[in-house]
Formats: sequence, C-alpha cells, structure tokens
Amino acid sequence: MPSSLRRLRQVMPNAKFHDRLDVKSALATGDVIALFKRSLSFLWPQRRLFASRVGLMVLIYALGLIVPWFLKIVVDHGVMQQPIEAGADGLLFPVFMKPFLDFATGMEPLTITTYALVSLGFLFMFVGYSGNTFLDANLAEGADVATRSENKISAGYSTAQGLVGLLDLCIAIRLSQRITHHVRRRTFGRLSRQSMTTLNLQRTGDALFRVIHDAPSIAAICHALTLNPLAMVVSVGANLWVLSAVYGGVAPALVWIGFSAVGLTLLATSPLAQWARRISQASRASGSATTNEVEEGLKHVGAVQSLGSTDRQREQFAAASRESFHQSLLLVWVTNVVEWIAENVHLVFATAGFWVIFSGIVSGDLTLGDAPVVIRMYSLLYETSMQFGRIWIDQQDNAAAARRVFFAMDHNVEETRHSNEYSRIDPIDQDLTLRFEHVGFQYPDGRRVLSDVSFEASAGETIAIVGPSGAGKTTLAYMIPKFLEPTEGRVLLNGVDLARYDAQLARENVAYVFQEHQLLTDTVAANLRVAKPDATLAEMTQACRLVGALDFVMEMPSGFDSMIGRGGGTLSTGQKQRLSIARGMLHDAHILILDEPTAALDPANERMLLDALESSHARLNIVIAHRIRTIERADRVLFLEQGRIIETGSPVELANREGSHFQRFADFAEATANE
Amino acid sequence: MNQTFPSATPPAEFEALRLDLKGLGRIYFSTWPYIYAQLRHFLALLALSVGMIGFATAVGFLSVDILWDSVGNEEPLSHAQASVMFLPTADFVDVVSLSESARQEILFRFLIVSAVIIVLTTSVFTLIAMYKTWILQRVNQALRVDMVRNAEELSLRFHFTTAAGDGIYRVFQDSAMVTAVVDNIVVQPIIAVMTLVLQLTIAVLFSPWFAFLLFIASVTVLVLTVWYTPRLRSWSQAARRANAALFTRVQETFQSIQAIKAYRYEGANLERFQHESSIALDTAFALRRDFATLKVAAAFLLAITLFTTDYVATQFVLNGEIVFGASLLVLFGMSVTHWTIAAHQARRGSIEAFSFNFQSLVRLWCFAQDMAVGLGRAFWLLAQQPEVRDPADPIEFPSVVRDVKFDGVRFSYEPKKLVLDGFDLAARAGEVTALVGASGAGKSTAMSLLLRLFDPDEGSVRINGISVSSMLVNDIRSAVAIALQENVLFPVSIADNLRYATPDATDQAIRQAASVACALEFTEALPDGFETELGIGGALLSVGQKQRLSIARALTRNAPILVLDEPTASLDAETERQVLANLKDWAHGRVVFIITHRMSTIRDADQIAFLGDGKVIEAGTHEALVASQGRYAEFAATTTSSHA
Repeated sequence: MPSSLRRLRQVMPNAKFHDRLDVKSALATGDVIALFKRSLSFLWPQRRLFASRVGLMVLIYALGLIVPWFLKIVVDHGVMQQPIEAGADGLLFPVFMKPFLDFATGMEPLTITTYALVSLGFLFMFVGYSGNTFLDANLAEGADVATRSENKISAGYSTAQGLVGLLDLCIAIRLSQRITHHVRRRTFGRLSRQSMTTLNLQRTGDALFRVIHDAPSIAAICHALTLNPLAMVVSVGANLWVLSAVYGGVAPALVWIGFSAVGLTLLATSPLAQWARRISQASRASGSATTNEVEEGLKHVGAVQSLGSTDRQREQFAAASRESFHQSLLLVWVTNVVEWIAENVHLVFATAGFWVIFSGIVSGDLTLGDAPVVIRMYSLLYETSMQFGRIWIDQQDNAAAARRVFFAMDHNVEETRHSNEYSRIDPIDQDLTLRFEHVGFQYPDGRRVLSDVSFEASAGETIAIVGPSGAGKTTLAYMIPKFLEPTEGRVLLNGVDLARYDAQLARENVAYVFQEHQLLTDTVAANLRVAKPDATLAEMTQACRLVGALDFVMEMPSGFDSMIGRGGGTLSTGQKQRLSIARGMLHDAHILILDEPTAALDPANERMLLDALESSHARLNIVIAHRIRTIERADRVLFLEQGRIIETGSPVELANREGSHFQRFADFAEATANE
Repeated sequence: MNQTFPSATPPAEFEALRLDLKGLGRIYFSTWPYIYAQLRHFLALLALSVGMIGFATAVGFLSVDILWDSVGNEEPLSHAQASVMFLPTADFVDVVSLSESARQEILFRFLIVSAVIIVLTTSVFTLIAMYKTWILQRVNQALRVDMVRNAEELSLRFHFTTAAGDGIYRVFQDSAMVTAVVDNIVVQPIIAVMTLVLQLTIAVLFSPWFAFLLFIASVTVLVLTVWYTPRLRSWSQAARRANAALFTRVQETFQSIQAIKAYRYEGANLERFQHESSIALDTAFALRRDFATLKVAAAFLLAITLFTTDYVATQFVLNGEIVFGASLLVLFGMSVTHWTIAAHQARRGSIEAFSFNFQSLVRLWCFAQDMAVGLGRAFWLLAQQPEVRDPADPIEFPSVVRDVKFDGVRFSYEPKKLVLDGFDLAARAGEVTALVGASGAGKSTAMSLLLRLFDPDEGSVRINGISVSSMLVNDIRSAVAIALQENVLFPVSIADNLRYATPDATDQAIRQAASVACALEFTEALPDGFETELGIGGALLSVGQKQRLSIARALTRNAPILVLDEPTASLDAETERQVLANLKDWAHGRVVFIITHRMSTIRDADQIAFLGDGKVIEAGTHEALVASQGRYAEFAATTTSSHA
C-alpha cells in the first residue's frame, strides 16, 4: 500500500475493496474482446445515426482533400503569378482540381486569387479545414468526476467545421447520448430490481457510480471501435492516394515519408500508449483512489459533523487532499511527457518533409504552393494515426467501466411478473392466512438471523413482534413481502408457498411501513400515491389525519402539492416518518406491517393509529414494537430472541407467565411508562 | 419549527449568479485572495507564457522569411539571419540573388537550427503547462480546505435542525469548479488577451487594413456572442437542474429501495428515471448544439476575414507595395521592406494565430456562462465567516472538567426572537443531565452554544467557571463528542466506523466503547467481528444496532463532555436501560447531556432539566420533580397516560 494511501486511511478509513476502481490494472485480452463485443451490441439500435455519421465522415474527408489545393493556387498562381495554361500542363494537381484549373485558364493572378478564395469561403461555410480541424462542444471540466462524466455522456467531435461539421457533431453527440441513455436505463432498471440481500451488501455510491458515471464508457467504446478506425482508414487512404497520384512521379520521397509517418506513428504509439497506460494506471490506482476517498469522505462530512471538526481533522483532510493532488500531478506529468514525445516524433517527419519540399522547390521540381499542401497533408496523416494510437490508452479504463456496468446488468434480479413459471394466484379473499413453517434465514456471509420460526396468523388479527434489537424482527417481517426469501422452511399465504408467487404479486398483498422513512423528492401527494396511484384527496386526508400528519401538511405552502426533499420544504424526521406511515395506511392491502411505527408519534396519535388498526377486520396487522402501549393492543405476541420465537401468547398471558422473557421485558417497559 | 434558525442554504442573490460584468466582478473579488496567495507564481507564469509566445512568433517569422523568401525565392539573407545559421555574409547576404547551392545550404542549416529551437520550445511549453497545473492545484487545495472548513462550520451550526447542510458533498466539485474558473476566467483570458494584442500589433505593422478587418470581425463576433449568451445561459441552467434531478432520483432510489419495492413502484420509478434522463440529455444536447453553433459561426467569420486579407495581401505583393511597419517588424524576426511571398505567408500565420486566440476567448466565455450557473453556492460557501472568533488571549481548556454551567444565557438567531431567555443550568461531571421539552424549547440551541457555534447575546456558558468564549473554539469542540438520532454509518468496517473521528484509537478503546454502548455482543457475533464491512448506511444491521454503534463512535472519542441527541429512540427498553446504566458508570468524571423524549431515559437521569420558553423551568431528579407537582409532573403524566 503506498504511503499516501496509508496516510489517507488514517483520515478516511475505507473499505478494503474498491470495486468501482479497477485497481487490478489490465484486464485479460479475452475479457476485453468479450466486453467490446457486448458494448458494440448497443450500437445496433442506433444504426441510423451511425450510418449518417459514416456518410458524413466520408463526405468530410472527401471535401478535405480539396481544401489545400486552393491554398496552393493562391500562392503559385496568385502571389507568384505563375500563369495557368490550357490543360494545366506541367502543374502538380490531383484530377479533381481539373475543372477549376480549366475554368481559371488564362486568368489574371488577382482574378485567380479571387476565385480560389471565394471557393475556399464556400468550402469553409460547409466544412472548414475539413479533416484537419476539430470541432467539439465540451464544457469546462475540473478535477472532479461529475463534470468529466457530464462531458463524456455527451461526448462527440467532428473533424470538420462549418455546417457539415455542426451536423456531424450534433449526430455524434446524439449517438453517444442515445447509447448512454439505453445503457443507464437498463442498468438502473436492473439495479433497482436486484434482490434486497444484494442491495444491502452493495454500496450506494457504487450503484450510483455505475448508473451515472460508468454508463458513458460503453458509448466511448462503440466510437473507438468503429468510427475511429474507419476514419483512420478513410482519411489516411485518401490522402496517401492523392499524395502518390500527384507527387509520386516528381518527388517520390514525399510519398515515402507519408507512408512511413503513418506506419511508424502507429508502431510507436502502441508501446508509448502501453507505457503511458502502465504509469497512469499505477498512479491512478493510488491517485484516483486517493481522490475518490477524499471525495467520498466529503460526502459524509454533512453527516459526521458531530464527530468533530477540529483543527487536527482539518489538517488531516488537507494532507489527504494535497496527496491526491500530488498523485494527479504525476498523471499530468506522464500525459505531458507523452505529448512531448509525440510532438518531437512529428518534428522528425515534418523536418524530413520540409527538406524534400524545399529541395524540390530549389531544384525547380516543386513550387512554393506545394509547401502548404504537403504540410497540411502530413499533419493530417500524423494526427490521424496518432489519435488512432491514443484511443487505446482510454479503452482500458472504458473496458473496466463497461465490465462494472455489465456486471450490474447481469446480476440476479427478482423475478418479474412476466415469468411463466409462477402460477397466477387468485386474489386473496377475506379469509387470509399467513403461515411460517420452520423458517430460517442466513445471510450470504454466513450470519444466521432466523432459525425455525413457525406461526400462523389470519385476517383480523394484530400480531406484535417483540424482542431485543437485533433479534431478527425486521428480517422476519421482510419475508412476508418477499424482500428476503427463507433459506430454510417456507412461508405460506393461504396455503400457497410464497416461493411460487412472483415478488410483485406478493407485494400487492402487503403494505409495509419502514422504520426509517423513505420519501422521494416530490410533492406530498406524489409520495403518498406511490402506495396507491389513484388515491383521492379524501383518502389522503384521512390517512394523514390518522397519523397526525394532516396539520403540518396543511401548514405547508401548497398543502398536498408542496414539494418535500431536496430543494423543497424541510420536514423533521418525525414528520417524515408520519408521512411514511400515512403512505402505508393508504395502501389497501391484506397485510399491514408496521416496523416500530409509534416512535415518531405522540400518545394521542399513537392511540388513533392503533384504533384504526383494530377497526379493520379484513386485515392482518403485524406490528414490530417496543412500546408496551402498542404491544398490549395486539391479539398475540411473538417474542423473538436471537432469531428464534421463544414465547408466544396474548400480551396478558405472557405478562402473567411467571419468569417469561416477555414479562421481564414488559415489566420494565411498563414500569418506566407507568410510574 | 425551524423558522427561528438561520437558513442553511444560500440566499437567492447567490443562486442567480450571472456572468455579466457584475457577476465577473464578484468572481474576481471572491477568488482574488486565492490568486493573491499564488501571485508570484501567476506572474511568473504570465511572463513565461507571453515571453514564449513572443519568442515562438519571432521564430515563426524568421522561418517563414528564410524558407519562403530565401530558399524558395532566391532572396539574400539578412545579416542577423546569416549569423544565426553561421553562414558567411559574402555568399548569402551581399548578393543580388542566392545560388542554388546556397539555397540548399541554407535549407540544411535552417532545418537543423529550427529542429533544435522547436525541441527547446516544446520542452519549455510542456514545463509551463506543468507549472500551471501545479499552481492551479495549489489554488484548488486552498479552496478545498477553506470550503470544507466553512461547510463543517455551517453543518455544525445547522445539524441540530433538520436542515443539515445538504449539499456538502458538493464541496469537492465546487472547489474544482472555482479552480477551473480561476483558470478559464482569469489565467487563460489574460494570456489570450495579451497574445491578441501582440498579434494585432503585428497585423497593424503589416498593414493597418488588416487591423481594421480584424477589428470589424472581432466586433461582429463579440456582438453575436453577447446576443447569444442568454440562450446559452438558460440552457446551462436547465441542464444543471435536469442533472440534479436525475442524480437525486438515482440516489433516492437506492436509499428508499425498500419502500419502492414494497409499493411495487419500480416500474413507475424507472419510467420517471427514463423521463428525467431524457430531459437531462436533451438539455445537454441543446446546450452543446448552441455552443457549437456559436463556435462554428465565429470560426467562419474569422476565416472569411483571413481570406479577405489573403486577397489584400496578394494585391500588395502584385503591386510591390511597401510593408507598413517594416522597420518594427524586424523586431519580430521579419526582415522585409516590400511585400514578398514570405510577408504574405507570415501575415497569414499571424492572422490565423489571432483568429485562434479569439476563438479561444469565445470558448472561454461560453465555458464561463456554464460554470457560473453552478458557482453561486460555491461563492456563498466561501463567503461564510465563522460566527465566533477565538479570543486574543485564550485561556487553556481545563484538563479535568468539573462542571458545565449556563448562566443567565440569552440568545436569538434573529433580532427580537429570543430562543434562550435567561437559561440557567448546571451540569456536573459524573452526572447524566437530561434535557426535556417540546421541540423549539431551545435544547439544541443550548448545546450549540456549548460547542461555541454561536456566542450568547447575554450571560455565559462556563466550564469549571471559565467562560467558553475565552477559550479556543478548537479546544472546546475537541472536548465534546456528539451522537445524533439519525445515525450515519459508513460503508467501511465497524472498527473503522468507530475510529472515524479518532483514527489512533486502540482496539482496546474501541472494544470498551462498544461495550458501554451495548454493541460489543452483537458485533462479536458477526462472522468478521469488528472487521465486518457494512453495507448501505450499515444496512445489514438493525436500526437499534446502528444506533448503538453510533453511540460507541461518540464514546470512542473519549471526550470529557458527551452530548446525545435522541440517541436511544430505536432501542428496546432493556437494551436502553443497559446502555444508560453503562453510560452512568462511564460518565465518571465526564459531563453527559441527553436530549430525549423517552420517559424511560429521562427517568434514570441524574438531573432532569425541563425546558420551556427558552429557559429551564424545573431541574432535579425524576422523583423530586414528580413530587413537586410542577410542569414536569404534568408532562410525565401525559406521556404515560395512555397506559392505565
């Protein structure tokens, strides 16, 4: 472990794993090819955009071939006043310039200049220095992931300017966006349908990272594997063709330099890219880990203020932050050195080119106008091959990101209702029964939470699950809406094993109020309607009144239409909890599970809620509770300890049973509440 | 209930930071201290950059002159040119026209000299780029540290209310943004403008006409840009909003995954995500499309200007006119008197450079528009000043805390709305003091005065009789550990969670803290014990277990003063009693405050302070207070009345 990391760990101790960073460096070639193949499958739905880009690309490079020759005309036939004779004999021009030369035959230098410049102007309106220019619309990015990925999501560039370039760029951006949209929709959908055990084990940050920041990598791979090589082949091919056609006879050396520039650059960038990648990965493994840890640590700052914001902590933070900058500086250094080497490789070819061109000019084989033509063509050849080589540096990172995205996509998800394996079960009627048969549960990490839990309950009953915290009460309750599935035994709903139910269907029957409020950034009404999409205002009002939430909802600026959450009005934890309960009450289900519902309620509201629970005889109420006031209203108590039901019976029965665990528990709670 | 608290979010004036002149002024003003701290480096960077650009221009002109006029067009070299290449004047300068062999010789030597110069200049430019990165990192570092400090201060101030500084996680991004602003609105424009001035001067030296043409083109592009800016700005805002909404959606989905699953909301939620994703992408696209359109238009206008000067320059050459500022152009390496092909090409290079720099400025301006949208919050955060200051002559924090006293404290967040009005309380070491009272009674405010987040308007908070305002803020806060109701655990191991604020706590200390908080038993029962990694917000544990761990975390700090804000709400009665009993033992020699509504907790406290109307109405033990039949007795009765 690098010292920086160790130092950092003291400040921001973090997990042993960094699943969102690929510290393991290079992926095996086979994996990469498989990942690439899969990434490319996302290109097919966008085939029309893709085909448009290919078409535009050919157009851009074709028009790009024309541009430098007008510059030559201005120099040779304008400034140097060399006349254009009929048939343009002895002039070095490619065939496609013939029409213009024929047109300009016999004209005055200034007239030729005018026509050449006007033609250039027109070309520029459409393509600019086609092929040899760069148009993008990236926004400023800083040393943070967010702005970088924002640019990556809408990545795109065109090798032309002008109207065609603009169109090309827009299509390129759209293409990236569509692929990313597709990928992140799939990833998001799959992630949110993963089973609860998986979600619990996963880090939220990680999931977010995949949906938002990793998704664009697939689009980047698609570009790098298809359009970039294609562009390379088209532009290099066309330019080498023109170079040989025009100069092959007079100055063959120019052609050879052109060919070797491409060949050598491709050969040279490969090891250069390898080297840069190795160094950047090594530096990234610590540097970006450092950055991410600092970044992640900061996310928690809001929550850990209580842990102290002393000078010492600040110094530690500053040190960690400095270290992360130090690491990223190393990365900048590597990038710059690679650039520097590249520039100087270019210099070798440019110098050779200059030597041949101007020697040709001195000997009279070439004209001054050939200089800008050849220089432009060389720089295009060089840039294109250089870029082609550089693309591979990024693909390693992209492949790692793609792997994470696909991993998330492939992860087991809960069964959906489309599955045919599940029998359709008739809607449950009044006589609902719920049966736990020797249910046990063990987390994938081997931790046992429930063992041999058996009980039966039916509609009209209120069951209280009681026990010390960590006894497995919530885990038990999670079995009913199939958040978790028993690892032993089974849960039966009206005699049908829940395993045969599709999860969605099972949840139709259950309303669940969680211990920790889970509200979304939206209006109060929208939050309530999560449970019942067609809930009327009257129903919502009733549900809120029941839990004592109506008053504060009405006090909010727009009542039920007020925004809550980020950017909206702020509610206290207790208020949010009440809305959460109201939502549960609104969901008209056969089973209502309340996980410690009354912690947030004052006595009067608590009583109202409990009365409401008792009023419904068609429903099975399951309440996880600590407060004796809540427990004593239940028909039956299940006393849980270390994952086992150790006592059952009515509250009175248990309270009177000599030496029962519940008695100890109840005695104490009663005493505290009643004195 | 929070109306009495100052806001934890930036006021509207900061949200609407616009990059007009006023906005720019504000940015320059706000970033100036950070630039000033690195001023020497910035000036050195500027001098280096401009010097190198001047040098590169001169070398460029020299090259064009030698290559085009001498090698290409047989014109003799100047003395200076000959001496650079170590060539004798006889055959190269003092001749009417150059021979073929002389031209070959010049070409050969020139290429060698220029290769050496180019290798040198690219190296220097690389170093300058590195230097700039280094300087900007220092700026970023300073910003980050300051922003974190301010954000912590703010969130401390507000964490007793529900609106704890929500966007603190953005500090990292914000500081990077401000640094990018320093680069894009200050450093790069200055260099670009100086380069523009240089290129414009050269253009004038070639011919005032070129300067005129460039001026017309620049004004046109500027007008276009200014006219176009509001459009970009509004797209930027829309894009930011859309992205924020999308990010919130994703974040919430994973935080509220249970509820989403429970209510079978996955489908609807996915639709919303898809919708929001589309909006985010569409606005990002529209912003980029318009940005690119402006770029293309500017590039085209400048290209047309270049072609026009091509025409004019060709005419000059054909007419054999005299170069307007030839005598001064020599300074830039251009030794011509009449218009030649070299002058023609050198002019082209210089106007292309102008156009390139001008386009960069347009690009930077557009960048700035986009960045400004997100900057309001960052600058607001930077502008925050701590409410309290360290005394000039601080008294050392006592090594042993005997008691904490509130003495006639009056305090208000806003004028005329007293939150504490004559607050008196004495808490002794070794005792647990419960603060009881309706929300808004001032419990949290009293604790924030103890932490010196604010100073009282009147009266004083004293530790061992010494007013906290005469002590260092840092000393006080180091001496207070807090555990909150909403317990946040990190997705790291349990041991690391407990060690979070005290990295060097020993295993022994952690175990002891866990044991006091009744967290030892279940932790050790886990397969990996203290090394168990926690999931989302510690999701593998029950809420009660998480709460105990967060209490243990506060205890690990081993601070002489402990504040527990509704710490036991989710604990079952037996565990709670045990935690409290342990705490009472642990509290030996420490001052413990508990803010709570739970009767069982209150009952067992050594001292109960019943708050109302900003003061302590009654204080004493449960028995004493119930016996006195006051407001507390009434409160205790209602709390338990439902159970008869």
